[in-house]
Parts: sequence; structure tokens; C-alpha cells
Amino acid sequence: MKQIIALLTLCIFGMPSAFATSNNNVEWAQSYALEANGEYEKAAAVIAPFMDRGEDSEFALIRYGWLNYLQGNQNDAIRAYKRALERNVRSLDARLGIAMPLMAQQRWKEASAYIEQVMAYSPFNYTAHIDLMACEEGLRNWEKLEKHASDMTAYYPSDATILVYLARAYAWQGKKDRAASVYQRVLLRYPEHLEASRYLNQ
Amino acid sequence: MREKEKSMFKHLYIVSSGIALALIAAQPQLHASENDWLVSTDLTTTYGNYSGSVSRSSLISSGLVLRADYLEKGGFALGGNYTVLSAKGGANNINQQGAYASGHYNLYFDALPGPLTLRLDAHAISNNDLSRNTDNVSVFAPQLSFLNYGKNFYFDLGYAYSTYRNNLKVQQFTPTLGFGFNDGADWIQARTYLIKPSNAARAQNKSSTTALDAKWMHWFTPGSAMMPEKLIVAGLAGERIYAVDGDAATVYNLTDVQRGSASLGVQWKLSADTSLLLMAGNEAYSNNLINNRYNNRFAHLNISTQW
Repeated sequence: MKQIIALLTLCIFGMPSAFATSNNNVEWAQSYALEANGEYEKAAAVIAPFMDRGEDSEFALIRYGWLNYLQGNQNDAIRAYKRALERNVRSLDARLGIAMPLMAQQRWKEASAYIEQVMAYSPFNYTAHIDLMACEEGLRNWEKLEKHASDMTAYYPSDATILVYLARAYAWQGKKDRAASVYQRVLLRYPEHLEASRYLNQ
Repeated sequence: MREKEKSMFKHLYIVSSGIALALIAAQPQLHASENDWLVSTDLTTTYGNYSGSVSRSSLISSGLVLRADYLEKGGFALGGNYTVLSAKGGANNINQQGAYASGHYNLYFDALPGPLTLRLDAHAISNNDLSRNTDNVSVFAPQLSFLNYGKNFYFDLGYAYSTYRNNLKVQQFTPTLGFGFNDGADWIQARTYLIKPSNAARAQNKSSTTALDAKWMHWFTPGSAMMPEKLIVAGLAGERIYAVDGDAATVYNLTDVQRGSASLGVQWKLSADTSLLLMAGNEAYSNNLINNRYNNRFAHLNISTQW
């Protein structure tokens, strides 16, 4: 009899909880599917309820920020990433996330401030360095970009993107021979690279 | 500076720079640091020699402006200048001191492809003009501007309200358009000055003036150390009186009717943090009250340093 009561109790009170968990997973999966189809607004709307509740709220905020960034809603993206950062002040994801919409708004100095916080925790974080180089380019700080990219090629010698930034820094400073030499190195790593090909053929 | 002017400047300073600081402080930032502020100074000197004027001999002016910008959110500027206008024919020289405060704040809207900037400038000027016509001048100049992310389109709408002694108020509207091209290496800008003095008898019989101020700036690809960083060609057509130039942070309270100008400037980058700008040109003026047309040939030096 006790077993029957326990089974009934589980059916009455346990099942909705199980369904709820299952439904959450369905909503997250639905959000990913919508994102894959380019329906970013719907993808964000599906996970929006999770931003204010539950242990996944931090992740929901980061994802909501990302999906708003993809829509071009940069201010909403910044707000969502900042809320995520307030919940977890150690979050490198949130810092790198904030940098994206700030860079989209060409707020290079503000983006740099967050990126440099990431580099304080993780000095050779590849994404942080690439984003910081984009900021240095946006600020037209060619001398700083040259030194930064030149240093980073030692840590990521096979990477073409860092070399492209180094070549641009040389080119904007009028160091044409050095720029050409670096663009040649880009083509070794990425033979169809349009920017390098155009520079060398001009 | 007399106590009244000191008090007036203090008020102007609080209004303009206070607004900018309050707006900046209202933005929460998890880890603000002193590196987030970019502080720079502009040290300027201008010398002008009047040719053909029956009442003016020369003008020399020196000034210092301190600017502080907080990331891309906004900033403020504070400045002061001292000017001596040497007179001819035994008339008194005019010794003038001016104070300047400015604040600006950037707004980012997703619906716009670039930031809107709200700016408020304030000037307080006093001198020893015996007529008091150019003494005790105060100016409030708000401006709304837009610069797109590509930095190849600029628009602003500026307004200035100037108060002079002896029954004169001056309103100025300055719609401005700017365009960048050649991959950011060139910039052209045109600003219309629509000025309406309240009292034509105090404005050389002018109830309104219209002028077009245009400039072209070209940035050179860095080369040798002697290679200039920037070239500026500027000119003004039409007429203007009691103008307020927001770019130069200058109030033309001492001048007669300006009837045009042409100038050429070259800027060198002396180091990573310091630039030197040299400008020279000619301004044409008319004193309608005594029917005297004359020119001011001027040279201007500006040393800009980031700290």
C-alpha cells in the first residue's frame, strides 16, 4: 500500500518537475535551431525567461547578449553581458562578450578596457589578443599594433590573422617592403587571402 | 578677473563640465581605472598684424586648454586665454581674459549608425574696453552632432547665445556637414554661420549675417621625421560678426564685420604624444561705422600633448 501511495505521489508531484526539466532542454535546443536558421530574435525570445531565474541564468544572459549582438541590438547585448558579469565577476566569457558590441559601436577604448581585464587573468588568450588588435586598428594606433602583432606572432607562428594585422600596421606607416614581406607570409598560410593578394599585386 | 566674472565663470564651468561628469559617473563600470581617462592639453599662441586699419595695430593671444575624455563616453574641457589688441592713434589697448568650459556626452542608439554627441560650451570674457561694448561677454553654446561609424559622414547643429553689454544679444546657428574620403586620409567640412544680433546699431548696422566656413584636411602617410602629419586648407566666404567658433573655442567679440578669410596649416607629429600645428592666413574685415576695410595677417601655433 505504501508503495502505491509513493508511486501516486511521484505521479502527482514528480512528473511536472520532470516535464519542466525536459521542457527547458527543448527550449534551449529550439533556441540553437532558430539561431542556425538565422532567426536570432526568436532564438533570444525562447531563452529570455531563463535570464532571471535558475542556475543557468548567467549562461542565459550571455547567450541573450550574443543573440542580440547578432541582431545588431548592441545596447541590449551590452546590458545582458554586463548583467552576466555582475553575477560572476570572474567571467572571461562576459568580458569578451561585452567587447563585441562595443567594437561594433566602434567604442574601441571601452572594448580595450574589458579585453585587457581578460588578459590580466589570461595573458595569452588568443581571442583577447585578436580583439585588442582590432581595437588598436580602430584607433589607428599603428605603432602599438605593430609591436603587439609582432610579439604575438612568436606565440602563434602559424596564425594568418595576426600576420594580417602586422602587415596592415606596416602598410599604414608607409613601411611598404615590410608589409609586402609579411603579406607573403600570410599567403603561405592562406593562399587565397584576398587582402594579401591585392596588396602584393598593386 | 573681477569677482563678478569669477562668479560667472564658476557658474558656466559647473553647468557644462558638471553635466558631462554627472552623465559619465552615472554609467556603472566594474573596473574603471585612471587609464580610462585620456588627458591632453593644447597650448596656443596667435599673432596678427593689421594692414589698412585706422584703429588697430596688432593682436596677440595665448591660451591653454585642458581636455579630459573618459573612454568613448564623454569628456570635458577647461581653458583660459589672454589677448592684447594694440590700438593705433593713441587709443587704449584692449587687454582681455577669457575662460572656457565645455562638456560633451556620447549617446549610442542601435537605430543610428553612429553616436550622437550632446555638447555644451560656455565662455566668459572680460576686458578693459572703455566703451564696455566688448566687455563682460558670456556665451552658452549647445550642439548636437552625429558622426557615423565609418567616420565618413558628420553632421552637427550648433547654437550659440551671446550676451554683451549695452543692449546686445546675439544668436547664432551653425549647421555643419562633413565628409571623409580616400580611406580616411581626407576630410572636408562646411559650416554655415547664421548670426542674428538683437540690435543692429550695436552690430555695425547688421541685423543678420551669413557666412560659409569650409575646410579640407589631409592626413599624410607617415614617412620621414620631417613629413607633416596633416595639412589644413580653410576659407570663409560671406560676412559674420560676433561669431562663436566651437572648433577653435573662440569668441570673436573684438572683431568688426569679417568678410572672408583664407588660411593654410601644417601639423607635425613631434612624438607619439605631441603634435605641433602651424597655421597662417589672412582675414578681411570691415568697420562699417568708419567705412574702413582692412586685413589681419595672422600666424597661429598650437602644441597638443597627450598625458
